Amino acid sequence: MSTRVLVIEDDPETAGEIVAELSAQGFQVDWAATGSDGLARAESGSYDVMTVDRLLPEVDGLTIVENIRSQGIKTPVLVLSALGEVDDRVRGLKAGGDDYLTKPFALVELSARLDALLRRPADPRETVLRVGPLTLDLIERVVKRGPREIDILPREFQLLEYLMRHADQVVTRTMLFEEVWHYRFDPRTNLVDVHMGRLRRKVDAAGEAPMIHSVRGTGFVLRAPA
Amino acid sequence: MRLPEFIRTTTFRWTLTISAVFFAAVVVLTTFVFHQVIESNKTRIDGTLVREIRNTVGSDPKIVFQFIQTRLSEDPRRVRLAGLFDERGQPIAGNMRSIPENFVPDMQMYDVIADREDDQGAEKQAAHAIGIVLSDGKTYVVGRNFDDLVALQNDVLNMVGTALPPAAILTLICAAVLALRTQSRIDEIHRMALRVMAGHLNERLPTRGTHDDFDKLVAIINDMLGKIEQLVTEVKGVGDDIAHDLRTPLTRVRAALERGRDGATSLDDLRKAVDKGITGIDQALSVTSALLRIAAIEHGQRNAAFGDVDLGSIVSAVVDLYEPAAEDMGIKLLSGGISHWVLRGDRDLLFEAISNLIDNALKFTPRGGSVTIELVRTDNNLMLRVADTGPGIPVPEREAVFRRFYRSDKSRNLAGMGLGLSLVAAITRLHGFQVKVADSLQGCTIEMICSPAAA
Repeated sequence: MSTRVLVIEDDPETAGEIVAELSAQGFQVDWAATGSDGLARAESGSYDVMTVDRLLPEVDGLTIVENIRSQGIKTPVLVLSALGEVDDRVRGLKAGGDDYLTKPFALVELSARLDALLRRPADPRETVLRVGPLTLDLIERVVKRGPREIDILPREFQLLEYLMRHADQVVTRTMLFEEVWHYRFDPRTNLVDVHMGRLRRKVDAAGEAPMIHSVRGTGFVLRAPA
Repeated sequence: MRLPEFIRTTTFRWTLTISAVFFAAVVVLTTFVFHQVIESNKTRIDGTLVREIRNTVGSDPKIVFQFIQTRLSEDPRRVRLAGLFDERGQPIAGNMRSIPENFVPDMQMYDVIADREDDQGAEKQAAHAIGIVLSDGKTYVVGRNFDDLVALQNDVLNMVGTALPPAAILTLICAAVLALRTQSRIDEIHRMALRVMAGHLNERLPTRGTHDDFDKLVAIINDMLGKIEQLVTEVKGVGDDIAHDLRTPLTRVRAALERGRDGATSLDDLRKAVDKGITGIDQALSVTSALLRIAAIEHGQRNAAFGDVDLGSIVSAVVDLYEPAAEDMGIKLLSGGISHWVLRGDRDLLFEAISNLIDNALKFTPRGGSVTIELVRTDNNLMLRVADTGPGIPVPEREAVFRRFYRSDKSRNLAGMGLGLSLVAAITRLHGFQVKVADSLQGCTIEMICSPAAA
């Protein structure tokens, strides 16, 4: 059964790009061009994830989110917002398990974030994360690959924790940046790559099968060795 | 008929108006002064007449006779009147042939028409007169005629009247000259304005160094022209620079794809070529999205995401992000100063601005150098200072680096540089901060003045 996505977006051009990208990724996409149409569809609750434009005719994007949440519908939402419209309400979305993206955005960024929303987050009560031979102890702050203990800096620890929570999933540089540094910023240079490079040299030692992989033009993925 | 241009100038009209007011004032003033002078003279003369007549009360009629002789003997202007009349009103002495009509000798002043007769002839004179009946029944009258005063007044008014027309002509000439001068300056400005409108934006209006109103106005217009010229040059430059910034990666993409298609012998070779192409296109895309981002910040809904932010913690997060990259480049990244300072702002945009400053500093600093970022207090402001040990920015280029796409010639070969500082400028403007390249002995120092933490 393929994943169902609802796109609520009033600009046909943007909507067209989003629908094309997501369809190419194998999603089953529905498009609603107005807030009221979007709300009606969202209320059916049969979608796995949805993208909602912040500014919509008739019903505002955030109102849609509040509406369906009050009805107990838990479909995760990605709000698309213009730069000037990112206020505390939009920022608050992250706290509720939803996410937002500032226009203009890259389509790979959009699909990576939708992917992240679709995965159930790991049980937050777990204190030891495991991916293949890699273990990360959140309480002892110890990382091991098999029996080898890895000497790791606090920042690298946070990076690895995020990667392990999203194992087998592409995470973009901006997602990593947001989760680890807690600022929303698109580092156009390879800053995150430098941090990742250091982490990778520690995780994937010489002679070991690589676990951290680069995804061209997008970001990284952590996978257990085959 | 069309009037000469200068007649319609404000200067001409004002000069004429002021002159007209001035002339009217002269006439009114002269008339008033004379009226006052004559009235006070009349009062004084009346007083004298009253005193003279009082002195004769109870005097011997012979002495009165003598009075009359004395009084009339010194009267070259023929203004004094005196007369002694018997009970029937016949003249006994003096220069009056009869007691005037409507006159009563009761020690009161009367306006009369006197019948004068002396050795120079007879005439009727308007006069003030006062009289008394003496103890022997004779009537004694003294008077004073004011024709001399009236004549003096008329003479002066005539003189003023004669002087007015030449003065008016002089005024007209003066007004015309002033108006022509104004007109010539306006014509001058008009000619220059036409040249500016025709595209010669480097033209400036001439000043005369007199620091008059016109010079001040011209200076203001010249400043404005300077600003317009700068903006136009910037806009022109932006067009060229966008083309340049997009052309370089696109040329690379084209070359990579062409080589790949012709030269690839395996699927891997082809993939490499396509990857190169994608890299180039990503570069071109990053230029356009940076432009869109600057536009969004500049025209965006202001203050939408403003909150209390700690600039100190933003600085340390930026330093944390850049430290490994700086280390790889062999550059020391140092930070210091105040560690916490809360102000109103957009934390994400401030992070972006500060990281752009660091990014810029790192790009221009050679291996072995250092980049220092610090928050310092100056007066009531907070200043963020980023200093590097790179080649620095020449003084004439220091303002220009914050313009969109501006690149110092030295940086032409460094990729993706044009927009970082203009993004910083846009973000600083949004916050009401100021950013500039500071004077420094070595390297480049950029200072951002952040307003005091607002409530």
